[in-house]
Amino acid sequence: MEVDKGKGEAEETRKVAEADRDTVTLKSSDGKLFEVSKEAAARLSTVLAGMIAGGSIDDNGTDLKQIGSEALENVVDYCNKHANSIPSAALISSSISFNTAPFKEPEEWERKFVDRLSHDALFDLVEAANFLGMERLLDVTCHKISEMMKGKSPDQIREVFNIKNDYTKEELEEIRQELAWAFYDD
Amino acid sequence: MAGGSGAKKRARRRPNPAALLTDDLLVEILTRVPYRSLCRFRCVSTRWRALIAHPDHRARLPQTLTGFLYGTGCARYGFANVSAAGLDYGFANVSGTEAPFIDAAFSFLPDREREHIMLVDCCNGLLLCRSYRFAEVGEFDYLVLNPATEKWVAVPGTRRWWNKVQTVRLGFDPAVSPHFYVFEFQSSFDDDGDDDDDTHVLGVKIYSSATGVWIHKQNKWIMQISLHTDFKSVFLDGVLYVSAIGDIEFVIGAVDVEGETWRIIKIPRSKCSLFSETSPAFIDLSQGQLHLANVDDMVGDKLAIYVREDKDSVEWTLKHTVSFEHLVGTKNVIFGFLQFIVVAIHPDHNMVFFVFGLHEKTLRSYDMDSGKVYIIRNLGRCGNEHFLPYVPLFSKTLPDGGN
Repeated sequence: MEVDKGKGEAEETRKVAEADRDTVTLKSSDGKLFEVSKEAAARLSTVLAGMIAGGSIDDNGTDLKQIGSEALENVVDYCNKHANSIPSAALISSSISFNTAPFKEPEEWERKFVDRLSHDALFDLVEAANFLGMERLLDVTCHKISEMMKGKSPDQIREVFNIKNDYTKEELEEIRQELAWAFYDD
Repeated sequence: MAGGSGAKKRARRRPNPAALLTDDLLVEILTRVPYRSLCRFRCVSTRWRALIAHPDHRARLPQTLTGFLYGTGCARYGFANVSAAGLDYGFANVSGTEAPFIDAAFSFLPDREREHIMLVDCCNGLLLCRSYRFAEVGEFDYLVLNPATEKWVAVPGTRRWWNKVQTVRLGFDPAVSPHFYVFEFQSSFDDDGDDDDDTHVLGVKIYSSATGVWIHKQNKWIMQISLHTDFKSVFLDGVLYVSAIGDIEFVIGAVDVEGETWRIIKIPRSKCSLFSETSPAFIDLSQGQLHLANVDDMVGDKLAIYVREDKDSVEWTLKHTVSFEHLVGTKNVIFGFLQFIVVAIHPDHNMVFFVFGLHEKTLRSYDMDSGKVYIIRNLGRCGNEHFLPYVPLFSKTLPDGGN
């Protein structure tokens, strides 16, 4: 893989004519620059594909004001890894079997990729994937979060998502009663 | 790859990003959690509850068993009722609360269709009915209804009631395909109206909504079997499983949507069982696996629940037993009809639902994990032994053409 992600200090060094470039430069909300393969960006992100096709890519760094540098680094990292990986035929065919959702299970490298992320980084990446229209990355990150949520109590979920319990005691009791048959304690 | 350059971390301290998720993203995540977790997450906050309950999201979020459709009229019995006048179905919520989850009068149907309808089967959110809406007595067509979206579609072509067709089943799995199948089994029922001792299956007609045609196939089961008209069937991986009785024992018959592969699955027996016969077997799909419930074959005083762990195998693994004493307070029951009828195994929980009572019937649940028995509802004197577990389907998967 010759296309590495750009380092933050890589500004102003590329004066190659746009047509010759096989990478695009993306600029995070905090002004850092990242380079990513044009082909991978166009294939994995509907938003970037649109920008590339529409010529709205800026050589000096296309502004992505909604995405912080950490999340953008992960996006670029994902694109590069994806371009590098060979989709496993076994995984693809097994996912077509009956009774499974259309979602294909994350591949090993995708699993590792999201597993190493911190909690905050994971949620930032979900937002970034959503913003950039990266369907597969959105799938993989949402899948990871849903796995983290499985089996957790409402209390634990509130803590993870930093949610205030806005129910009254009575309301909560009512819901629990409604679900009494299903709501046994683990 | 140069690695994640951890040095880039900076003191970015804004609020927890998890708390900032938009509704869309939150729903995107919630579509992936199992039903049981989803249920529980309704307690997280009012916003979460509203999101989970919102009609726009229900189509994408997992659904589960909401209740049972059943006949409430004593006159209505099985499927042999030709005249089929009047509609008398009820719906019992599993939650036991009063307002039925669906309107069992199907008031979304036009009057003519509604008044001449007979419920036949239910599979993954769709109902199969016979509609005797034609001038000719005994002439009907099949309607497939989705009560959650209030959509319905007629299977093309009219048919005539025939006593050789006693068992009709619907096959539908929205996770695989938006198309459904109707299985119409023909039996050797004697036209003289003699005893129905010998009503073994001769063949099946299968309608596919994908092709729009009926195909007819001869029975290829290796033994003569009669189907249990009142027992639920299971549709899994394009195969319909039906509870049946063979020459001497109860079995499960399986036939695929092409009518090509016919298999018999024996029901489990203990090696040293003292009983010469097994009891009828109720089957259902729970947590993606075929489950079977019948009476234990050692003493006969327990409900036994088996699971088929490997879908290609014919082996059953005993999952749970519980005494009838614990369930209903008596040591022995008439199992499978009249007094004790298993009506569902919960699709997502280790829970079994049954109807108990010779005359006054109650719908009860038994939780295999906690051991708790709940009386969900008193059903009164309902004459029908046919209970259809119902899981709503909110996505608009019915093929076009319905109203």
